[in-house]
Amino acid sequence: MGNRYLNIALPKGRLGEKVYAMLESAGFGCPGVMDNSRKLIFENEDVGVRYFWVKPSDVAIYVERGAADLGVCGKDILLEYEPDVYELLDLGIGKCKMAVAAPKGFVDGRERILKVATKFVNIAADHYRKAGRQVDIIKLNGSIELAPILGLSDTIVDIVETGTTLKENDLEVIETIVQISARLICNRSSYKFNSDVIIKLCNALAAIKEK
Amino acid sequence: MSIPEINPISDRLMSLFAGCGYTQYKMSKFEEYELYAENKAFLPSKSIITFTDTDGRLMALKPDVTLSIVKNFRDGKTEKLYYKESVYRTDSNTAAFAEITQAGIEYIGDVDVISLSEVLTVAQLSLDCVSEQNVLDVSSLALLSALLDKLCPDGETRAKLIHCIEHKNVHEAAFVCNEADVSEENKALLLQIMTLDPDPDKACAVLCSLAVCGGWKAEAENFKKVLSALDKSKLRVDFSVLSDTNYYNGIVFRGYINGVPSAVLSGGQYDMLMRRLKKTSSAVGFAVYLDRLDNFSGQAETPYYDTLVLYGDNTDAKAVCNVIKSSADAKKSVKTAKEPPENVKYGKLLDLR
Repeated sequence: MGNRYLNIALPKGRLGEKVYAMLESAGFGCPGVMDNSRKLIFENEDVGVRYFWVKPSDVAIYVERGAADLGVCGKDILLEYEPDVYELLDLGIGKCKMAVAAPKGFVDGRERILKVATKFVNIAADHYRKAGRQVDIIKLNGSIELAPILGLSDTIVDIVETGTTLKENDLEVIETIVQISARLICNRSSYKFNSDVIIKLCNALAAIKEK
Repeated sequence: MSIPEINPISDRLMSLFAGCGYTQYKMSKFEEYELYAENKAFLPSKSIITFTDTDGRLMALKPDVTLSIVKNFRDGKTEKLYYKESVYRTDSNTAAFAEITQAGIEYIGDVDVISLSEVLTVAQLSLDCVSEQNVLDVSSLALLSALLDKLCPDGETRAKLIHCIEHKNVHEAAFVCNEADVSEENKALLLQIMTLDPDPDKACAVLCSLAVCGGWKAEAENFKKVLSALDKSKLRVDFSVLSDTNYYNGIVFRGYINGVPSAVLSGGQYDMLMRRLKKTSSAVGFAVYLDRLDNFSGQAETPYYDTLVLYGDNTDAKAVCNVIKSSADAKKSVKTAKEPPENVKYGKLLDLR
């Protein structure tokens, strides 16, 4: 009942390249994927895989809507958008954390509504809801670190990898919300009809991760 | 007889349900808002379109069919009903209200192993009406609840584990168990259930061999009995199929079609909903989401007419009408047009131009 090709959405950028290297080691390579060309789709008929590069934040949508059977995206995307997909494996790469950061020395006195700037509105809202803290969430699409410096917000909720950008802007992590890493996700329906090959791929990636 | 079907899939489903002894249930587009407000968690979409009726009552455009059927059911008899109705819900992507057509069946009254098997069989046949390439995933909330009770997590941990089970997220389930100090034995049990072989015979053999708690064996045997009557070639046991335990209990299931990215059929036993609506009977049913099949290529069929009548400006109108009448009398289909239409198949061409 399986389909001819397993469609896999890879996130553009360094993370996607690492993921592809793992897939290639797992025996699911495809010529041309790493070439610097304008080609969008790459197929390997022998192995039965088809790869395409998409914006990292779009991977989950491609998988949820069935345009891709499998995909790789950060846990941050899964927490923020809650796509209805299976999360089959923690690939153990692209590790970072979702954290609350503020100007050095900042203390939340809780005497007024806290202003929080973030790209991750749902994650931030959920975090402060659980903490019982009333907040004003300001949605930004980039340069989040600028918000507390210019007085737009008191704190930020953002991904922190090394913390260098925070340091350079006199900000510091005051709370870690959740650890983030790359996850292998799968469309629910595709899993039913291609389970043999999906489980095979998943097990092969798990074995590589363990090495 | 070859009258083209307006919606081949829903027509086939209606014939199937009627042919399996279910009677059609027609209902109003509105209900009192109170019914839905009290059972919001049962609804897939929490937003409801409301309006005030002329007598001042707050009414709602029906967001769900089952609630209305259960509300009007009287205990003491068994009813086998089918429906094809529009419901009004918010679209999760656009957040705008949408009209969605659902077709399904409800078996309410004395629900036993045979009636559960029957409903699951009708669910499998419903999927066959759409495509041969289908799968019905079945799970047992009774078994899953018993397992989670044994793990004894607090409310928050339980919610996290349910999320992991629903998303086949084995790595995080293990992490949550470790964080909540769930014993290694119980953690292994949970992971075993999450990674169970979906083959019904193999899955049931494992489930029946476990001794999770007092009532587990009987429940597992009951589950096995229900599944043993079904066509197992397209049946899978999958505990990632979950529904709200405040409403559902026992068996729950989802149907998938190859090429459609999400479940097209969803159902289960919902005795808990019956209790909430003060009914003592049991109930099981399912709905087919016809809107999710709109873009399914298997649905697009070229309409066929027994006769295609072509007429021109000078054609006698009576001649055209006579063909329509005679075709209707003979239970034959007919299409009239000035030019040969595209994407239409026909048996006989009658050119009156």
